[in-house]
Amino acid sequence: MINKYGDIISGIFFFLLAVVYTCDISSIQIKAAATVDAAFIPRLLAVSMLVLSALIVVNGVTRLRRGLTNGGEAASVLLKPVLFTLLLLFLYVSLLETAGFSISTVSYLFLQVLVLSPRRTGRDILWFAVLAVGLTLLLRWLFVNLLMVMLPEGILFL
Amino acid sequence: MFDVFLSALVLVCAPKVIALMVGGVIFGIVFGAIPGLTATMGVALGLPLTFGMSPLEGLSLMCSIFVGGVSGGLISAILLRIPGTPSSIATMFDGAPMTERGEAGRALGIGIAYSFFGTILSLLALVFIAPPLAEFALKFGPFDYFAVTLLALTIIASLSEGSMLKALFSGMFGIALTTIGAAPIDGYPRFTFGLDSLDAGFDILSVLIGLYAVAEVIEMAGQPAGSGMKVSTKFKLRGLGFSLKEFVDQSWNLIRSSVIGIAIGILPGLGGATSNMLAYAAAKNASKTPEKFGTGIMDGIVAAEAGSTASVGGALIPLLTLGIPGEAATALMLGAFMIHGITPGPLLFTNHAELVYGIFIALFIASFIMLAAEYWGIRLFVYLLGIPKHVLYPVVMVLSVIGSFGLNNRISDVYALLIFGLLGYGLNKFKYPLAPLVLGFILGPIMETNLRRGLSFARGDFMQIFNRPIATTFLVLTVLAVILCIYKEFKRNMKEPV
Repeated sequence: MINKYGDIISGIFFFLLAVVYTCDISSIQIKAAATVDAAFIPRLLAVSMLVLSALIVVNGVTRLRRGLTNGGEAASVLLKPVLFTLLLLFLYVSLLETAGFSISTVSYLFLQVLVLSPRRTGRDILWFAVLAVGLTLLLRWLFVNLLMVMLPEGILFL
Repeated sequence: MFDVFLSALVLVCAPKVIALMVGGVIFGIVFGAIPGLTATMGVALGLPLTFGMSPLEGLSLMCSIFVGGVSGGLISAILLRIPGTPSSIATMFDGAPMTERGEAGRALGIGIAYSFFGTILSLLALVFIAPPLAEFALKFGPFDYFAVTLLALTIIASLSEGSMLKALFSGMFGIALTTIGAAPIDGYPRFTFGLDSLDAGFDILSVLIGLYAVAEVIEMAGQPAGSGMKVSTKFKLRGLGFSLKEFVDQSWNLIRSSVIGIAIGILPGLGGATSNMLAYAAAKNASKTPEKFGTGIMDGIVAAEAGSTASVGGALIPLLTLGIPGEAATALMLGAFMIHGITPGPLLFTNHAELVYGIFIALFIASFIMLAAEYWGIRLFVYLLGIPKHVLYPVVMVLSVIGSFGLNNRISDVYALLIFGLLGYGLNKFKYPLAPLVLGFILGPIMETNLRRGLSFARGDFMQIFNRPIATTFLVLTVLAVILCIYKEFKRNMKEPV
């Protein structure tokens, strides 16, 4: 579908985004005396984005009529691991401040490796758990102790 | 000047900096060698490591990762027939057949040596071209800067793969993203939608790591899983794999390929991926036996490796002298400068001469470290090729999160990282090139500030830009680039089979 309608879908999406961008330009404060104000570049960009996204849609429709695709072979994408990865990422970031770096990272690493791994036997799962704990401790030591980077400690200060 | 050079040498040769460079080169080679991880991703993930470092330490580390990353791809290209980075595609053409003939050691030796020679020649070009160019760039006024950034963006869009319209939109979208937050010059908030976290705009690190690391991991999650690759370690490196006579015979090939690499590196939007193919094609065209190319001959590896690694020095020329990065990896290098409060450009050579010399010296030292690390540590890198992807990618993701949080200790930056990761994934899926977006994001504020400044000086009269010869030249070149764009798009539409 992306190969066939990709240009039209993405063009419409970006056109709508450009419309939102254009509408918000009016809320920019402008200094009356300024020759070129803070809204000058956004106005230029808004026009360019509206025109270009409209051209992408027109181009997409023309290509569709001529029977041309978006180019390239459609690669097979496994949707389930992508969705799980996105969910895990969102949960990881949401829990980062409250649970702290160590707890959230161990959980994320363990679950993410589990999602991506082609094998999930009992022995593998144990290995993933050890790996998640070991890697988290190593990264924490590297960044906090060696590179002096602050990481979220969470309510348990971990 | 000699005093500045000496003090830079002392600073770079400090044990801590050398240790950082060794680590950086190894880190870069690993990212370059493992297919799926890229040199750009390595440079992106190296950025957070520099937070607590001095500018010279941080930039030496970044340069080392860059040098190692561009070269590292040769290992998998030769041993696995899978280029580790796009910069090593042509290396595979002759490297892989040599491996199949049982000459993996010789192929690796040639690749490593000429990867080193290419880097060194390009660094010499950098040292000799950058200072006079920076001196010339001191004459640039606001309109000239505006025109040169406009040219850079247009060239990037016109040279990008695929649709020109998408590339141009991508660049505009990148600039539009920089309009979120406080406006330059007067500081009025724009497009913040009442969110305090958007007042300062998007952090460059969240944008770059999101687009280049997180998007890649999401992409790879959708690929069929596989365990680690099994790579044969049954090869022996004897010397560098070639004789002195062969070295002399290849000298013209080396020089020609390096010049191509340097020139391609200087041009915005192109890099090692293009230069290694062009250098390979040039060597093949110039050869008396072109039919032997692709069967496993030394000429092919020499041209490909010298061509790709010579883009390193070339790409750094516009970055250091004008503050304009040519492609993704140098855009990230610019990020490293900005993190440490330094703006690359002509004034860098006068205000931070010690740092500039330090970077030059660090690049040379990193090249020698790369040669030694790849030669003596080849078995370690081959072993690392076997690490399964399902372990590597989650670690890359955690490093990305640390990187985006660590800069300002703001969780909103981590959310921005996720948003840009998703955006990058979506843009890849719909075949929008990322490079114009990144360059637009980086060049947008420079472009806006200089255009507004120039127009203020000219009391709003844009036509005064044509009183500036430098700006006029760049604008003419921009128009030519746009014409090239339109011609390319027209040709693409006409050529494509129904």
